[in-house]
Amino acid sequence: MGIGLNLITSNTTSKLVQDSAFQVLSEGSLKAVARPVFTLMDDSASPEARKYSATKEFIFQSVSMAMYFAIITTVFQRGGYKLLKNLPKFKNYEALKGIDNIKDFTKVYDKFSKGLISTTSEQATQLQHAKGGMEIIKMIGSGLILTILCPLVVAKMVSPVMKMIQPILNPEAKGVEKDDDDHDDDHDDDDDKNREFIA
Amino acid sequence: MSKIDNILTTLGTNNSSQIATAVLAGFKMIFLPIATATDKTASPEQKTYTIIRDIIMEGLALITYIGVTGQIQKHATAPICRAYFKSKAKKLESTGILTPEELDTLRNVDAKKLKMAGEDYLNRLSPNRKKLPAEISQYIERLNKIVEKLEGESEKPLKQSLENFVSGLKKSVPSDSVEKVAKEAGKVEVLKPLKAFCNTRIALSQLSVWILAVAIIPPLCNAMIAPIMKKFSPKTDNIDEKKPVLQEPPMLNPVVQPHNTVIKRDDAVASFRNRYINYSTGMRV
Repeated sequence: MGIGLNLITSNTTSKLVQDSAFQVLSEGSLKAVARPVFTLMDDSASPEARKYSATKEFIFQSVSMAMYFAIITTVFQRGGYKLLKNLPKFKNYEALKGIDNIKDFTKVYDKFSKGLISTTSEQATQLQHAKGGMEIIKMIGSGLILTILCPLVVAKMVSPVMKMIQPILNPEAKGVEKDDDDHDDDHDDDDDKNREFIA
Repeated sequence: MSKIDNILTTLGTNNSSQIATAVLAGFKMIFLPIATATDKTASPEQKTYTIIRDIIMEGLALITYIGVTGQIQKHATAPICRAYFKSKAKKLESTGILTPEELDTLRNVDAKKLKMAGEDYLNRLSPNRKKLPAEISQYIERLNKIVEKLEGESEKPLKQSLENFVSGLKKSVPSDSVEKVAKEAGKVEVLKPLKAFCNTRIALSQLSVWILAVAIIPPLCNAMIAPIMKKFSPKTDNIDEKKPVLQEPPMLNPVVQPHNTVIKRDDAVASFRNRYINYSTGMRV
């Protein structure tokens, strides 16, 4: 109880939770497990449809998390901060002078939020605005990646992945398929004999 | 202060988890089904099921992330803060730093007053902000003084001006020098009431989103999708009952048909010799 209360109220948790990257990645990793499980448990569709949907959900969540981590935390944050500093609203912000990259800004904001840096009220507001601006940039980036780029990639990946995992999920199906093929071959032989006979 | 400033300040200081996750859910509700519809390798049933499931799932996420998380934050934050201060008071009993009265105040924090003060703090930028009753302001001030008394027992962190800190970063001066605060062994750290309120509110938003994403939305979706699937694809009804018939193993012993067309060549020729009749002339050949 005490540990839980300390965790919920702590400054570190609050700082971590307020980062859009953490919000999206933690939610996505939980969904990557929970959603496919519940989809496979659903009785309202055929097993094939459920397998397709579950595979798609799993791939989508996994790919989107990887892409998010690779693109947002690098490209969007670095480029985003430079873009932000050149926007008319932020161009004349005194507090951002001398802070040239996102790494330095993160360090400054971290210390500022812990109360280890003394600022004027104007500087404080400016730092908060810049942090808010960065969160908006991350959200836009997430929107682009998770809603446009990922679905297109995932749609092309589902079928090959399903074919790949089919023998692992259902090894009997492969055997049955093989038996069917053998059976078909027998019939083919018979057909050949008949054709030969008719001729 | 303009609306843009308000949004920037809110996201910079109080970026609750449901904002980003709900925005993304809204986008996904539109783009995921479109992407599924363009998949040429899937069957129509697979596509229909996946599209319906995505729409329901993301729709539920959008509604619950905003609605439920907001309600949890509204009703659970102050009681959790109350429990936090109560547990801290229990730890402070043996230290003798606080007077019995102060300990009693900390042990029985008024959740209602804390909630009012916390919400007022969150709405500090709103033009419709109502004036907080003096009684509540005084109560929060009293709690603040108790926490400050606890802080006074240890060395306070040295603050650096923003300019000095930034120039230190450029010269690669280790910035950790400002953090050298002696932590006493067994010292009980207590947050100021409004800080505790804001932190708890933020953490609750993330917890709530996690619980909704894992344990609430998927089962709700399962319950909702069955009637909708019936409307869109009536043939899928009772599909599990039909399935065993489709998945029967292939026949191991071929059924002997009454008129088997596969006959030995000699027998067939013999049968032709005996039975063939030319129906145009009525003659046996």
